[in-house]
Amino acid sequence: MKKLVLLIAVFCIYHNLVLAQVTEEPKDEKGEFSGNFQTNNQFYMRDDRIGASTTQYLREKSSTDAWLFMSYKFKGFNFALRYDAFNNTPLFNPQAAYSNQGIGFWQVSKDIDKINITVGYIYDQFGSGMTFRSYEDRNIGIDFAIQGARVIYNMSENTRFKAFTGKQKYRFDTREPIIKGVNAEHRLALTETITSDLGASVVNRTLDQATMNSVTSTINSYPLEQRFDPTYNVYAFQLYNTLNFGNFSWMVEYDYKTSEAIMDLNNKLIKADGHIYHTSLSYSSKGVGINAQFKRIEKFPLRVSPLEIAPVPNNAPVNYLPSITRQNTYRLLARYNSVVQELGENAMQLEVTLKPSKKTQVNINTSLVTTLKGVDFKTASFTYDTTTRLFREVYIDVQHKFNKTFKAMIGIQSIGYNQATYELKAFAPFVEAITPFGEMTYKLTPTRSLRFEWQYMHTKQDLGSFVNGLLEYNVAPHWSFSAGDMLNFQHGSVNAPAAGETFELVHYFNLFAAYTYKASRFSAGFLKQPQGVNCTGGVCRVEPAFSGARLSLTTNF
Amino acid sequence: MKHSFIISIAALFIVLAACKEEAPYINYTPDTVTYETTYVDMANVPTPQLREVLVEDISGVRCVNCPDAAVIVKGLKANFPGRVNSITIYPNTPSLNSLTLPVNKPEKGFVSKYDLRTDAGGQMLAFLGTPNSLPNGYVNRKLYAGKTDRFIDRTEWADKVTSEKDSVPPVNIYVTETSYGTDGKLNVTLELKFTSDLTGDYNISMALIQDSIIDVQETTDPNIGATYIADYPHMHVLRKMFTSNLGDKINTPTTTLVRGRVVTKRYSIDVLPETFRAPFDKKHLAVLAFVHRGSDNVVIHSKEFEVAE
Repeated sequence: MKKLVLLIAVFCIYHNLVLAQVTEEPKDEKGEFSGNFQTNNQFYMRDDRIGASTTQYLREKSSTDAWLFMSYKFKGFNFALRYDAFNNTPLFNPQAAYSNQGIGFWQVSKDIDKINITVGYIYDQFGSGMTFRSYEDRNIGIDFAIQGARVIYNMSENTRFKAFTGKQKYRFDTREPIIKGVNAEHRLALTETITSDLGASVVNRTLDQATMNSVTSTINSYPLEQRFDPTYNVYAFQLYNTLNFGNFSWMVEYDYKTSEAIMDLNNKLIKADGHIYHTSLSYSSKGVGINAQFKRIEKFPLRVSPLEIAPVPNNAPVNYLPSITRQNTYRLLARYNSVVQELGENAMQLEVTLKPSKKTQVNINTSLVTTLKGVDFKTASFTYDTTTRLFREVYIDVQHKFNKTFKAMIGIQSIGYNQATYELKAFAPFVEAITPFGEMTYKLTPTRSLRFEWQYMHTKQDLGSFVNGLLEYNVAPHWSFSAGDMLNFQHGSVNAPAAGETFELVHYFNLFAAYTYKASRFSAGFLKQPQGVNCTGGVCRVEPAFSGARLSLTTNF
Repeated sequence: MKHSFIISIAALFIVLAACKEEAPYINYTPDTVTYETTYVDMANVPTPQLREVLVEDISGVRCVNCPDAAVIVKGLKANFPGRVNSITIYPNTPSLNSLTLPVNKPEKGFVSKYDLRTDAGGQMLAFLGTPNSLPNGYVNRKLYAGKTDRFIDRTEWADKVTSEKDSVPPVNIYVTETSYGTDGKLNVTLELKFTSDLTGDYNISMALIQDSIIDVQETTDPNIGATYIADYPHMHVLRKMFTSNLGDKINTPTTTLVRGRVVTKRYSIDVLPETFRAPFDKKHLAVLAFVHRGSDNVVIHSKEFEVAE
């Protein structure tokens, strides 16, 4: 409440100040006010067959999330404020209902010559984000803003320094440990055609005494031989460079984290330092694009507190470890995702895009993720077997535009997914799935079109095989309608019928309508979706099944 | 420009990683727990005990006002019978050596027989906050409103005890056995019975304390100033910890602290004679157990038990 009063006071004072000045300033120096509003409303309809039976289905029956963001710019100043409201939301913990509202974000920023100063909540990242990233992904309940201060110094066109300090946001409060860091980036033109983008960062996290008390009492409860001295401070170093030469681009990055208490797979604290090795090589020319990547992570959880644990890496991270596997969008293709294993993994990806003609494009992607034992640098050996495999994907699609009114795409995906590791289901078998898919778009008139997409996923593990179809009808510029069904037609390992019984088909229907007017969009849908790992923008979390209706509104002003 | 960039990067790495920090206390002494069990017994949940407040009196044999703090503790025990427990901590803390080192004034005829300081006491202070002067103390290890430190002056102890004593503790503390082994060990069986649900981490600390250790104490006399008492009785002196110095964690991922939870632990520690240490006098030994929160170390209940001779 104090924060709210303070902010309103600051806004009022500044507003009066601005009005007073505006009367004296030329018209073009007036401030600029902008913002946006988003609300998501869910209505829950219990369906025990698909596991849609969390607290909202039993008690609250509905939930609302809303965000109002406002920004005011004037003479190099930028004031931003966001009001967040959550009523019985499952966003932060799918197993519980959370309600609260208030100022979720505020920021004051000012440009002074080559320096930018920001205080309040800050979203930012250093390089790839593997040592520091503060970010928001509201649709999966993530808001890792830093509340503190940041200074950016643009020394020259090619050189920039950045420094910040603060605490990580936790709902409407902050977590106690302090995070600070500095970053420097420099562009070096070696020749006319060769450039090098260099960067380096250091990030430091310091535990508060209460957190350290919990850490030490946890360690003191271990058998004597497993005890160790924890550290208040951890430092993460990052060095990265992208070399651009002709059609090629080569990125290398090395990250090192000093030794600290980290939680192992058995939820036990151990002391270890961490490393990340990441490289990618890209080639692009007319009609061809190739990208190959390799990343090895060794014990690199970097959290606000080592006691913050979660089955997937989205609980109070200081950094962001992106997955280098393909981010699929079609419903069944995105059913199994590779969640980055911060304690250790080797990941590699090869992506090829070919455009043999103006009307045809071919995308090929393959990726492989193993445990640390999968790659042995000393013996230069690679092992992908039942003891090391985590994830593999082979994907190919061909898109062709037949004429001005019709285009189609067809493809196939093969997935291998270590469900036991990714979803912490100890006895789940390794999922092997093969999924052909396709999409057709037919333009009925210049403003009306029909789109049909389908996927057929065959697997004997997990929930078994599915087929998904969706028909979408668009009437530009206002309306969009779709209807679809994802059908679980064959059981897998976890939903096999009891002896003497037959498997009953499980439908995951969805109906959707959206209306867009100028900068506003209203959508309504009824849908069912199975439990699984939901990833957006490379950030993943395990979500329970959903059954019910969703209404949402977004608008910009 | 290129050079300044490289220098800046080098500076980043050096400056931020140069400092070495002091590690928190981790107990590396051999485990003193010889037996433990836990279960939930909903049929026999006891009536909550009356809350007993813990006063930790940080003292030193060269601290002239420390006898006054001991008088205050004695008064608190008399005013709130059965509701105040105390430990006198003689910490092995370098910054307090001028007040805590054994007295060594042979020219005046005062030389301490024993070193009353303990590493356990020093580690507790490092953890809870070390005062610059003595006497000082913690009341239930709480950081009180308006204070920046947990340690508070002796003149405030009575107020804090009064404000702390009336809440209902969510756990009962019992000692069901004290015995001496033939191997020179003292065995104590501790039992905790939870009378209401708790969330978060909780620790148990159990100390061996000793009364009536007769030794030199520096003090002050209004007529002659600083002086010494040769046969001062040091009371409630922290001798050893049965648990780790900062307490043992009670709950585990599988042991939630729910109403009816019973936790039993049997501890065993050496009470053999040690050079320059006061002997463990069986007549004056007691066990003081207290439960404290993991997050902020606030003591939620304490109990003192005699040790059977």
